[in-house]
Amino acid sequence: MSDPAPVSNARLVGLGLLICLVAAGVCVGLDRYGASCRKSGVAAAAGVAPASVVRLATPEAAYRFWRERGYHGRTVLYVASGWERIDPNQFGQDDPRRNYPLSVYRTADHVEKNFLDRRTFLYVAALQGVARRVIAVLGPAAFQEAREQAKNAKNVRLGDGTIYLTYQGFPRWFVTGERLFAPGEPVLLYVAASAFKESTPAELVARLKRAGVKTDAAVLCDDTGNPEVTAGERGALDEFARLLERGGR
Amino acid sequence: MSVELSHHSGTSAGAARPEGRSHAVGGSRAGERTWLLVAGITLVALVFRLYGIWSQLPTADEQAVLLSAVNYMESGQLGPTMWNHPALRNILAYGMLKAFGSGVVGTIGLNLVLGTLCTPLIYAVARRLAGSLRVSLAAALIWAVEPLAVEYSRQAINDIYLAFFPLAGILAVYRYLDRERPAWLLVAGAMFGLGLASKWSALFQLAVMGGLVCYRLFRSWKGGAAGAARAFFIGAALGILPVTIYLASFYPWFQRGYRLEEWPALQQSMYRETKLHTGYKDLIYGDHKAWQWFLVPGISHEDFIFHLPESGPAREPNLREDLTVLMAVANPLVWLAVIPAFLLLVRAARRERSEGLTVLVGLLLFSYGPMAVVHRPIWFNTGVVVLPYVAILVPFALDRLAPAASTGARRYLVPGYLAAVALVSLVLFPLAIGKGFGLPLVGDQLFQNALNRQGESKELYRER
Repeated sequence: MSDPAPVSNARLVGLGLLICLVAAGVCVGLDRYGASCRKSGVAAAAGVAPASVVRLATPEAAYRFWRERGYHGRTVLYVASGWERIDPNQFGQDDPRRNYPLSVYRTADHVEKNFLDRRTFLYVAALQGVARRVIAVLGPAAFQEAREQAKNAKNVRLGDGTIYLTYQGFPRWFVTGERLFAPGEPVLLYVAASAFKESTPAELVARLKRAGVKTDAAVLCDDTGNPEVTAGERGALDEFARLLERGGR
Repeated sequence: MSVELSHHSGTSAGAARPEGRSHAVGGSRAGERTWLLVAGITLVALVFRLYGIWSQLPTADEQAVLLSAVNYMESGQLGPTMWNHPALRNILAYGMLKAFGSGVVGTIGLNLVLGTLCTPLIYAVARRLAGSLRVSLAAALIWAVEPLAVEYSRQAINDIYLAFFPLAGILAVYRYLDRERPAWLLVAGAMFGLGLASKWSALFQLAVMGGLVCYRLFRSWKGGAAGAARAFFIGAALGILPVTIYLASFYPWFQRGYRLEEWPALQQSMYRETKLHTGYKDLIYGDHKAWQWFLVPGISHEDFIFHLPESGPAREPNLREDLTVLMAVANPLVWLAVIPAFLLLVRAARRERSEGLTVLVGLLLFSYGPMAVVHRPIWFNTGVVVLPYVAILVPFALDRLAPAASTGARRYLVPGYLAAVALVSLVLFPLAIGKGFGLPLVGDQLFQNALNRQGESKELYRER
């Protein structure tokens, strides 16, 4: 075999630099692509200035509202007394008559069409890309329960009043009211009437303000049909809505 | 140029020279005959992979692979299956789905192709490592008929990628070392990048080949700008390029609105799941202890397919008719020969200071070692990653056993072994394609064994 012509140093360095340039381009390109995929409205500080506040009857109506508005790639700040634990495996289809050609569909569409309800609305929002992460502000009992369950999870970080827990790579934080934090971007705020089992509307507004939460859409949910929600809690939701409208005053 | 990589593998530190090259120089007919043999073995591989494929029922994994591909490509969603592995499978499966639909070709066509193409790749890599036509043809034939390679070429999951891409990367690295054309190292980096984007275990082969390239670099190091330029290029081609390809394979995930700063958290999440993964069932079924692969006969991986007729009168399920098990049983003549072969070649590598032997030993050790020691179940399907190096190692060692002076032994030992391997693989073949229950004499026993299999508690793998 004849010896090939030697490769010049300049060519090797040039190729190496080209690879570095491509790598940097991929990093910047993906970052910008991700940012461009987020869809939001005009944000305002929650409890400070009026945001787009809507009152809806059910959690699934909240999901439909988000979808109609076209929100995508967002942080959902969920405030409620409890957290509905679901097993996503139950939504799968294992058809014993399965054969080629295989049926093909998006899991998100399948779950939305067949299983959307008050328990699954956040899961569907995650599947459909409305939410890219969730911060759930829970009452003390629900938080403690979540903490016990999280101890057996594979990817979890437990802090004082905070739990970071992923589901198939989807990031979720569970926090107590005292540990409520703003994620550094406008959120889709969801406040259920049950949130006022443990706190008053004024306290929640104060916590949102203190954390510096900004939102472009606040959904206040009566959770109609949920027997655990009382008329008093729905009344508190009225008061919370008034406070938000008045900018927290 | 003050620093040069050796063009020749050398006789002391390099791999043995491919003996086919002298044939090629001496006469093109011998070279043509070699390639005809390789083509023939590849054809055998193709027949093993295609036989009965049109009537093979899809596994639940195959359905899940297609759904995962659609979820990932159309909305960046990970899952429902194997979400913790990198996402190249989703991209390729989606491309095949769009091009060919969700039938046999669209679902498993790519794996059939890659599994078949591994045959000439193994030949070429073995030729470079062992320098022996006999060994390299034997390695290709072992791959062509080994039940594990056959079954996972016939399924849509991505283990076969982990055989193909690293092999292509290894070959490209050797092309670079032999010819000093930078393009080959770029190809190698791209292949290892695609391997990493399939599963992280491609890192092990990349480490070995990166080590080889660095070794060659430093062995011929003369300092100065030339050495630095070459080192920079090698680092970029085998370090930055694979990582860039890996990162780029996540581009559909970014459509969910994630930014780059959120990506490391996803990687950590994938890592935690991969580290602690114990399967999707309540108990752990099947052979899942990698340290047993070379010690225990009859190691296998099974995929259960429960299938009811799509039409016809309704009836009660009948397991004898409705259950199919794809059962990849390790050919004992191959897998149980690994440890003695490994020890023999380690000794030879030390004695002869042979680079080719050392690289082969390193590839096997790095591919298999982490799986053997990790504290989590490793099912035998992952053995496809190790099999290419097993397929080279065993005939290589056997070839060494034949006395150098005895042409008779040298002539018949490897072919005789191969004939036995092919025969055993042929016997195991019906099991790999789901026809085991229909076999005379053993079919009923296989069915009973499938029904009576016991799972193990996941407590075994609780995090320490």
